Amino acid sequence: MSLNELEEATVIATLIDRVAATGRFCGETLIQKSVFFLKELFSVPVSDRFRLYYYGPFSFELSDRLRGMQADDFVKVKPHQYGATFVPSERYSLLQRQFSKTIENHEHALGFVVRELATRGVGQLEPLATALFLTRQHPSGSVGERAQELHAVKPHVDLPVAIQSVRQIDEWIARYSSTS
Amino acid sequence: MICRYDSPMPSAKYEHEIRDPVHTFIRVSSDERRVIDSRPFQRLRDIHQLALTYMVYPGATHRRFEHCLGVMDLAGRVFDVIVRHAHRRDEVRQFFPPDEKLQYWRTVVRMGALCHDLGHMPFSHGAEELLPEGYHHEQLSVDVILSPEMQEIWLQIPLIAKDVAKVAVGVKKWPGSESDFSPWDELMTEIVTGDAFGVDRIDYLLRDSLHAGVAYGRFDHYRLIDTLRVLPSADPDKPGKPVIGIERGGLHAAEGLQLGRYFMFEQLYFHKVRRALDIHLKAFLRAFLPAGTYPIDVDAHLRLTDNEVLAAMRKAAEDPAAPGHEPARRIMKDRAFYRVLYVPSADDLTKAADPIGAVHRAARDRFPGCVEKDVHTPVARPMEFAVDKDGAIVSSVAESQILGQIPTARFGYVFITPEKLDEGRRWLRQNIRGILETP
Repeated sequence: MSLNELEEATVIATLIDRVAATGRFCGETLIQKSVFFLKELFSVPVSDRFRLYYYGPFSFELSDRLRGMQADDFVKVKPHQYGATFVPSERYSLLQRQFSKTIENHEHALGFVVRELATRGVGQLEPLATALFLTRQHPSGSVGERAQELHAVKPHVDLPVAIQSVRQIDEWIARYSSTS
Repeated sequence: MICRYDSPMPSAKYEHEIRDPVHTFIRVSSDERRVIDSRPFQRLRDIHQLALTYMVYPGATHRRFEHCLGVMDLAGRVFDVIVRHAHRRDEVRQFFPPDEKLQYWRTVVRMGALCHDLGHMPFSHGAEELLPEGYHHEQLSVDVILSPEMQEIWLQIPLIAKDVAKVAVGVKKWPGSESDFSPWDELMTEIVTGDAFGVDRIDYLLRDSLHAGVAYGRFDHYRLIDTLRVLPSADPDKPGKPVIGIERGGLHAAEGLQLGRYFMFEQLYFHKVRRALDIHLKAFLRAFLPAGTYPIDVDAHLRLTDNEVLAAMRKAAEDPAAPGHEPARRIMKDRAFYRVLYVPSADDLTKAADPIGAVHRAARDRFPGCVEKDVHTPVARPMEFAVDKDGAIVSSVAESQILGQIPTARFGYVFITPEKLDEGRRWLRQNIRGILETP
């Protein structure tokens, strides 16, 4: 079932809320990679299209959406020692109230983000998200083939890291894809 | 030609000068003159920069033609500043091409800037959504730049057409893959299309401000440009990526740009009458254009300007049997534009996640065919950029007292036809509470 624009905003703002509650830095890259995982690993029906970009899968639509959510006062950015970090804003409570069912439906996926992704730095998220992107493109490729491809499109990612990333993705797919 | 690279470099000959109300003189090389004289570029003389805004602000009759000349002039100035050897930091030095290639890239950047709006359809952004699904004016700019007509010019200079096209539209709107852009390519297009300091933005703020008589768009662009530098990104999400940032001394000028942009959106670009005019214009164009969409074939695109549309609209306004008569009459004859039925109050925003959507749905049911909604948010992310503070790279958001406080401009209106305005307002007063409180 597709989500309307406000429901999508609810999922993303809740993701930000959950990460902010841990006190971790919630920059745009974490949000980008997390929404990519929500979409590709847990089949959360967000409409943003992702492309392979400088630091892995990236959606310009999601980037624009975050600006819109700031304008709507659902989220805001706060200065942080690393730059601007996203936090929920005043009107997020309206989304929580109106779309509590939507949040409930995606608790499992949101929990994964907080547990598995928010604890990692950009350097780890990039190969993981790229490995998922390539795995979705070539689902029948072996670990070695996909790792080679990852290394080819992101030469700064060493082959051992690429292999480890592909294996991690395979493990997550086996564990989570069927339960979403 | 002013050569500012601290190293010998062949210089292009600037043989032509064009007077400009914003930049005083714009100097143009013979190669650039060839592009300016081309059919695609001359067409921009007939595309209003701000669509029908001149019906609200009478001075805003300027065209894409002079804007593109201004963007080219500024792009050259920014290029000259950022490539100076004295301005290069060690961390990003590797991304610069050899000196002998700089003149090529300077030409590419100026040409990309010159051509960045070749894809604009009549009335610029006023009715851009009438392009077929998935198309945008930047795609058309690429199509025109790569067209045989323009290829002839690029071959004579010679320039690689794809380099010009990439600079003109940027990574986000590029129809190919991101991997087509090297870090240097990204820097070159950032000069033109960048969210924070793109010269497209700098020129349109200054120019629109001047012509509309809305002074808010002015800021110290001389100081800003002088302090632009290629810096390693301050964003922890993009470690080491070369980006265009500023020296700390230019921060107030950068704040001025962002404040100017915010005020211009509030005062000019989101003006309620201009937005109402856009709705009528789109209604007319849907009736006037074959299949209700703008053409994407390059020749057909180049044949269509504001002139053809305005002439047809004037004719349709007088002929009740003509397609698009109703919106044409409202714009050209009776000035019977949509009126604002509803703008959410601060209190309304605390009651409903989407008050405009809620009021629009209810009003549409009550006054079918008489109500329209218009919501828009500028989507660029201009506030965060790298700042060189005494050699350390810091985020503008952390360094500036102002940037983090500037709200994102957003507007939303529910419009109603003037004939139904009084009745609509009475109805809304009686029902607004229930409308907003219904989930």
